[in-house]
Amino acid sequence: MRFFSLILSVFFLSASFSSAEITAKKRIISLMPSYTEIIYALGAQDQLVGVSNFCNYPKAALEKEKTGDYLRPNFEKIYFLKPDIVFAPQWKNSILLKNLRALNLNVTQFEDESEVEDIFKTIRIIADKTNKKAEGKALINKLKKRLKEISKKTALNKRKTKVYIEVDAKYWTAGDNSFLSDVIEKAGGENIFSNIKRSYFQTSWEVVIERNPDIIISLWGTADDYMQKPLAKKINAVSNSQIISAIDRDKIARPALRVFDIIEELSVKLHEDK
Amino acid sequence: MKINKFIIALLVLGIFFVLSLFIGPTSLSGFDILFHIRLPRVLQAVIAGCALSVAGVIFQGVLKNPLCDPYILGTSSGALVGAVLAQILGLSQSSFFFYILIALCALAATLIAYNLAKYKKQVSNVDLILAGVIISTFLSALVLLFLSLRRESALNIVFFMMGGLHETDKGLLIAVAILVFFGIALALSLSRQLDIFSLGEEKAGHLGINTEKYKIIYFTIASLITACAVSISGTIGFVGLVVPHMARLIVGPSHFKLILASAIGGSMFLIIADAFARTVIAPGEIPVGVITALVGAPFFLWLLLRNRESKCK
Repeated sequence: MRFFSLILSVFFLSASFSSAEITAKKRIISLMPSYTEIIYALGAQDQLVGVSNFCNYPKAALEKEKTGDYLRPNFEKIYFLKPDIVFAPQWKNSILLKNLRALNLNVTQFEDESEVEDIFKTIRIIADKTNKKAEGKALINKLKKRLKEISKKTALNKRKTKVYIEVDAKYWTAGDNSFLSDVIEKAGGENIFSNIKRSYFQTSWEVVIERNPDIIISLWGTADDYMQKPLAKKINAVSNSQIISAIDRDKIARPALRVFDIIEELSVKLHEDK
Repeated sequence: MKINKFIIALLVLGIFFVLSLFIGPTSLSGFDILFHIRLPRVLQAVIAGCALSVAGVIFQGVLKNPLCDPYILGTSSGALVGAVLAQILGLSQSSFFFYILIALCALAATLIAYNLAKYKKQVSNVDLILAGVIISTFLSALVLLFLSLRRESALNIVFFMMGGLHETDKGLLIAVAILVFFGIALALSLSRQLDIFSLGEEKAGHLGINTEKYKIIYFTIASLITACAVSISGTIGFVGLVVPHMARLIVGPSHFKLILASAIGGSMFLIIADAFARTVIAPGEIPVGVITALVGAPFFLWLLLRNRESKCK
């Protein structure tokens, strides 16, 4: 009997300890890899109790509780983790947000990022919600400075390098409204489809030949895939073997922090031979 | 008289063929663009168009079911599984083997469905269609399972499902063209037996036709040319279902004429549809399957209504 009461009291004590800890810190669930990355960068990872299935960076995020993904969040798991805040993406035309709020969860929704500067907005909101305002401000200033330095360097180039970015096989590319198009611009390049006011769309090889990019960035294929295409030699990028295919899709496509490394790398690569 | 009609139809096809070479998303011209970029694509449209339509004629003729299309026996889901397998094996979409694998899987799925339906060396049509539906459903479930486990490669499969005419290996194109040509020639030479089939299998049997043997031959031809079409163009719906009906409304039920008319009509249809697909929202593209359905369905309805009126008179 005494033994039991001892165990019980230990149990309650530990429970009260942990609940005290919980109230001191917020419990956050991030449903997007980019938010997770920013949370870690702000040093707020101890508040993070759940991440999406796609959150693979930094590596430590893999050990957090998985709560489904972007299009199919696992409501039961999210509810079970008792989050104070859920960071959710815009979810255009979806009832997911309504369903989450119906569970009385506090959801902070972010707009989709369509340009690099939108990342600052995301950082600011996350810093606010995690009580890391100072860290957030410092991070934003650092990143802004980096962008400015890159743009100073790229401004020296006589002309902009024309870039064709292929997101997926069969000529899926990025129009002006896409995040990737802005990444190219920030690196001092000019998207050959910058006059198309759409996000991602399918084009054809003939159009690529006509627009004659100086560089091809492929997120799916290899340089060989492009060399073998008909009339490939007519394209400057192919005849000068300027095909970049080794870019990590996660790094370039996620509106988080690593994309700044990519912008810096690209800004050098885009103007290597000039 | 009838022969003349086909010559005229062929001429019209030729005109469309040449004209479509000059239709493209860019104002680029010159021999190079026409020969290396647009010609292969128009050829692809011709091959896929006639292969799918003739396969449709054969399936509808043998199974005596007007709703049959070249994918009825699970051919398209087989092709999708092929695309998924290629993803798992890490085959690039620009490699020759990617397409071979797709054609093989499409063929395998069809043969499995056929053998499932076979009972005591007899194949009943209802069983065959059921087996096709079951194989399709099962394979689609496999594909969906893969898509939900490997979301990052989902897009590639989805694009393949949408179908489209893009550059493929030239060797593959030639190989496919030869196979489809011989398939159609064989189907033409066996068109009398197909006519007898439409009397009903029992009567065909009484007239001295080895129905089981011919069924196997027809299905092999049809699945083979479907697999060929799928390997160069993905799964393009609607052509194989509707073109045979259009042809039937124009040339009547004789299978010799029907096969010829469908081959010509299917090619023409896909040439026009693809010309739209690559230019309407240039520099963007629309999946050609979208166009075939959007344009084909109303045209088919119009043809049907016109035919009904002329019958009433």
